[in-house]
Amino acid sequence: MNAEISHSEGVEDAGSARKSLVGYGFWLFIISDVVLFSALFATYGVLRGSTDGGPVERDLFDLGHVALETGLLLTSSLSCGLAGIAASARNRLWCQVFLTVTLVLGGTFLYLELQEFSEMCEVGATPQRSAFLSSFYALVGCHGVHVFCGILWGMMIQLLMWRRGFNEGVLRRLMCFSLFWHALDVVWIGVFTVVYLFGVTL
Amino acid sequence: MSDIGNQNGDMKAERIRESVMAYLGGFALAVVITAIAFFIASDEELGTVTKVIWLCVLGVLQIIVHLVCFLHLKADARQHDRMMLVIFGAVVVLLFGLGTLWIMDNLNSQMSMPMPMPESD
Repeated sequence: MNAEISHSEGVEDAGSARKSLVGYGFWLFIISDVVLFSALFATYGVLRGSTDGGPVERDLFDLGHVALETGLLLTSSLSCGLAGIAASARNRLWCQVFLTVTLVLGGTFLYLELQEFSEMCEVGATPQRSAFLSSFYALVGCHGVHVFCGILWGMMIQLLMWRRGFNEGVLRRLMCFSLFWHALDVVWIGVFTVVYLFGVTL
Repeated sequence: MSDIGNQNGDMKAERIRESVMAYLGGFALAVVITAIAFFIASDEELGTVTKVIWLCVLGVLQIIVHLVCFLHLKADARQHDRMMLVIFGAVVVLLFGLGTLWIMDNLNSQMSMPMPMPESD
């Protein structure tokens, strides 16, 4: 009995040590990803005035649209956190429900973003029109690609959880996914402040 | 034995309730800050400089709310390494962003004559 307990505790310790190591490694990845975004932000900041007589921010950006996108991403961050809590309570149903809500909200965000891009392209604001638009599509598009990858990843975790339940690997992946998703929301704070809100202000 | 089990269950339920409340609190804060930021940006009366300062402050505030409430960053000994990582990242991002803007602005202002653009037939 005693040996059994100490053995299972040993396994638990090794598992949590692995988990905290993976967690730290994933933080490293997120910080380096944020540094990548900072390069795109810097590029945008330098080039935002280089419109070459083409459309400028005020003509293109619709704050209501952006507010809706922001709300979607923020709510998806909340439901992602709730999925993590459901996982720590080992509740499979709620975990799957909250993950689904997270991914659907993320998908809707992506749809709205693509709609915005296509509307901009229709009025001639394509990436090749000016340096401002090239850097705009690079920055906002890079964030969108991250969201798209996050959605694919989340769906794979859902499938894995459905097949295998809460094993150590699934829980570890879920923790990393949750970090990734929240970090995307943090980057979006930078995007809507620097690109959209500064865009209609300056 | 079952008593201990029940106590554990109660503690677990209590912990879950606490972490749900922490998330909801962070979400409410983030919604309020975002709403204020959008309100300020669409306001017609405020001056540009005031607006930009407010938007910067609100943006930083919201990032802190996200780090604390959603990414569970705390200033305790267990998370010391993680905190160092975040501070390092913030310094690199600031150096990158502000440094680039500063240098490019400097170059621009020293360019006394507008560069002749080659006509692309």
